[in-house]
Order: sequence, then structure tokens, then C-alpha cells
Amino acid sequence: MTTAQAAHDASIKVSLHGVSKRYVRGERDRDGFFAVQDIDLEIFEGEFLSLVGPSGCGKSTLLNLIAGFERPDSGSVMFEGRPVQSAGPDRLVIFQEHGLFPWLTVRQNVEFGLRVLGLSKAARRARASEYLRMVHLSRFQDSFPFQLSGGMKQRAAIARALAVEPRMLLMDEPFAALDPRTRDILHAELQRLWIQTRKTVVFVTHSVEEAIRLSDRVAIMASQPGRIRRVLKVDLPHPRDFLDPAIAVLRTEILGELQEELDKLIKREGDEDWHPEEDLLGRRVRRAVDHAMGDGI
Amino acid sequence: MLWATAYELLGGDSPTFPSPWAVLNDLVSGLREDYLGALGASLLRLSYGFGLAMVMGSALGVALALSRTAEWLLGPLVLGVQCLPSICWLPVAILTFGLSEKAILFVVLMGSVGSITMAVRDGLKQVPTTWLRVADTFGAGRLQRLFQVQIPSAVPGFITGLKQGWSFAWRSLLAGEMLYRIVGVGGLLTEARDLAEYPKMFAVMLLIVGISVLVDQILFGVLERRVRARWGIAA
Repeated sequence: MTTAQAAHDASIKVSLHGVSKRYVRGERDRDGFFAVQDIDLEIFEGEFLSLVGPSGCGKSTLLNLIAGFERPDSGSVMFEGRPVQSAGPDRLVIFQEHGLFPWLTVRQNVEFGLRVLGLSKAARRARASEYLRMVHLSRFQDSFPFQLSGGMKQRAAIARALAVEPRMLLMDEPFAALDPRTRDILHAELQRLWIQTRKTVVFVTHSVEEAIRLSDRVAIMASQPGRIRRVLKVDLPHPRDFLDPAIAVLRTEILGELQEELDKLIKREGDEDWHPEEDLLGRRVRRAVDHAMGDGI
Repeated sequence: MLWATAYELLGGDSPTFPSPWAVLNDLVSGLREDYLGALGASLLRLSYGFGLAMVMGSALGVALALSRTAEWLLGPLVLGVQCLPSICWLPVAILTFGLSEKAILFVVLMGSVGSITMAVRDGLKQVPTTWLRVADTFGAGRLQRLFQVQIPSAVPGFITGLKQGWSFAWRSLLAGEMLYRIVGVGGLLTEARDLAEYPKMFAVMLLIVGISVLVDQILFGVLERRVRARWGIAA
């Protein structure tokens, strides 16, 4: 093995080779369906990678496989060169529904993972204070989750995750339930935290804009069976703003690819006569029928 | 008001239909004499029976939630016990323990242990997946998962189960206490029946309603609302 090769391997955080996961719907479903099929993907140390795609393309399944919540039917999922056996605090997951425990205060929530790790009380307090400051929630450390807004809850969940100093973060549509303004603030926050900590992040999202704004690479997924269609590099300096024209260019490119996926979905899930008037980019759809009629007149 | 009006309309002073004033009068004088003592004896008896039901119900509920074997063996039995009105245990209790405190405790226990068991079992089984996954991703072991995630998340259901169990226990207790002359609220009713004292019967019934409302609505009601608000469950 050459030195260059070894250096390359060392920087690979997660590697998936030929990963498939099949689900069976009910007892009659003999064949089942592939949530993901034959996935090859390498995620590098310190990289921010997003998985985007239509619903049902298996992006959350892929995340759950890396997290260790689920096991692949075939192929291998490796984390830092070792196969993933189960979930653990080295690959910490942040959920869409924040998953804060309502019976604990914000501080106690942040200390939860530290208690599991067996840290002393003093060490827990110090560490929790540090990360609460990082997400600007020190003032609310003694509040209960039901007293916080959606954005604050998600920031608390991020503090709880970062506090155990995981080697990697897995984020499953963490901002999907938030309003656009709050999401914008959290994007800026997440970029700041990422630049500060340089964690490896896998980020699942529906939103193409979100993926481009945050990521070094965007993996565009396709559905039925779930697979990776293309991995796109976003070569823009961090932090980024939505107003950056380069983001708009990339967005058009990705939405163009996703449009094909959407067309397939419409064909699969609707009647023959279902033809949306606009595509994902807001362009009016010109169909063969329109042309034929126009030609005739 | 309705009562006073009805009393006046019926011409008053029927021996089987006392005036509200007579009843209130008896209640006040009774509270000064032996009612409080009887109430204390009843509540003490209740707290023994209900306390035992809480301990047994919690243990059984945890066992049913965590072990498939326990569920298979005991699940249908608990469901059956819960469906059976607790008064149906009286004949068995009397034959086994005689006309004694033990028989009443047994009936109270059988009346409330089922609802507590089911509440604990369901609460532990219906923990949202996200919370279980949070426990897993932080690397929590089985015991940490049980004590720090599953049990706290079952608290709202547990309180609802306690509330239901309490009202069953209270009903069973009164039924048990009316069997024979015993110091207690049920005993007061039996005594009033034997002496055909209508005002006293109604006064004791009012007392029972008062205690039920106090514990059910105020004690458990407030606790339930506060816990549900914090746990983020709409009322």
C-alpha cells in the first residue's frame, strides 16, 4: 500500500459497500421492497455530507444503517474501519422530533449522555455549561422542554449531542418541523458550530437549498429501489448564505435531476391523467399533447 | 336547592325522605363526634390496601412489559381480574379470611391491582421510538434505558392508572366495610341502616361523595394535569 493510499484510507470515516436493506410489508409480501439497494458511498473525516431525495428513496434508512439502528441485509457498513454492530455515542443521532426528555430540564437533558458515559457530577456540570453556552441556551438551562420554542428545543438537542463529543453526527431532517425563519437561524448556527468543531456530519433532508447551503457534498438519491443517483461537490467557502447566486445555480442543477424522480413518482402513484402544471423549478410544463394541438391549428 | 324544593313539594317530614337541613345537621354533629374517627379508620385501611396494590401492580406491570413469558402466563389473568367487579371477591375473601380486616384488605387489593398493573404495563410498552433511539444512540444499557427512559416516560399513564385504581379501591373498601359492624365509613352506613336513621344515611353518603371528589378531582386531577402539561400531552 502506498503512503498516499494509506492517508486516503485514514481519512475515510464511513464506508458503505454494496449495502442493501429490504423491507417486507405484511406476510403476503413475498418479495418485499428495497429501501436501499447496492449502495456504495464513502464519507470523509470532517466532511459535511447531505442525503437528498424524494420521500421513500431510503435516505433515512441509510442514516439508520450508519447509526446502527438497523442492520443491512447485504453489504457492509464500516465506521472508522470497523463494521457497525449497534448504535453508540461515537455516531450520535439528532432526530427530527428533537427527542428531548420532557421530564428533565434542559440542563439535565444535556447531562443525560454524560451520565450514561459515567462522568462525575462536577465534570457533567462543567461540560453541560460549556455546550449550553455554545448554543446560547444558558439562560434557559432550568426550563423544561415544553416551555421552549421549536428552534430552542432543537438547539438543546444539538447541545446534548455535542456534549458527549461524538466522532460523528447523524442528523435526520432535524429542521423539517421548524418555520422558515427559525430554520434560517439554525442553519447559520449549525454552520458556525461545524466550522468550530469540524465534526463529520451526515445530514438527511428534503430541502435542496438546505443541503447546498450546509454541505461539502450532496448525495442525490433515487427511489424504488433506493440508490444514490449522483454525488455533487459544493465547492463554495463556508459559511454560506441563501442569497449566494452560486447556490441558485446548483439548486437548479439538483432540482433538474430530482424532477425526473418526481415524474417517476407521479407515474407510479397517480392516475394516467395526472399531469402537474408546473415542475419543481416553477416552469410551466409543456406536454406532447399541447404541441400536437398547437400544430393542428 | 332541588332537594329542598322537592322536600317542600312532597309536604315534608316523610320518615324515608329527610330534609336537607336534617341531613346537614347530622353531618355537622356527626363530624364533631364519631365521623372523623370512622373516616380516619377507613382511609388508613384504604392506604394499606391501595399501597399494597401499588407495589404489587407496579412489579407485575414491569414484569408483563419486559418479559414475554410473564405476559403469556399472567396477561390474560390480570385482564380477567380487572374485568371482575371487586365485590365478587367478597365470598372468597370471607371464606378464606373470615369477617375480618384481612378480608376487606383483600377485596381492596383485588379491586385496584388490575388497573395499576395495566397502566404500568401499557406505559412501559408505549414509549415513543424516538426516546428509545435517543437512549441507544447515547449508548445506554438495558437498566439505564429502563430507569432513565422507559419508567419516566410511563409516568403520565401510571398516574391515570392510580386514579382509576384509587376509585376502584374506594368502592371496594366501602362494600367491604358494609358487611359487618366495623369502625369505618361503611360501618357508619350499616349502623344507620340498622337504626333506620335516614338523615344519618344521607349524611354519610354526602361525606363519601365529598371524599371522592376531593381525592379524584383535586388530588389526582391536579397531579394528572400538571404531569400531562410537562410531558407535552394535550389534556
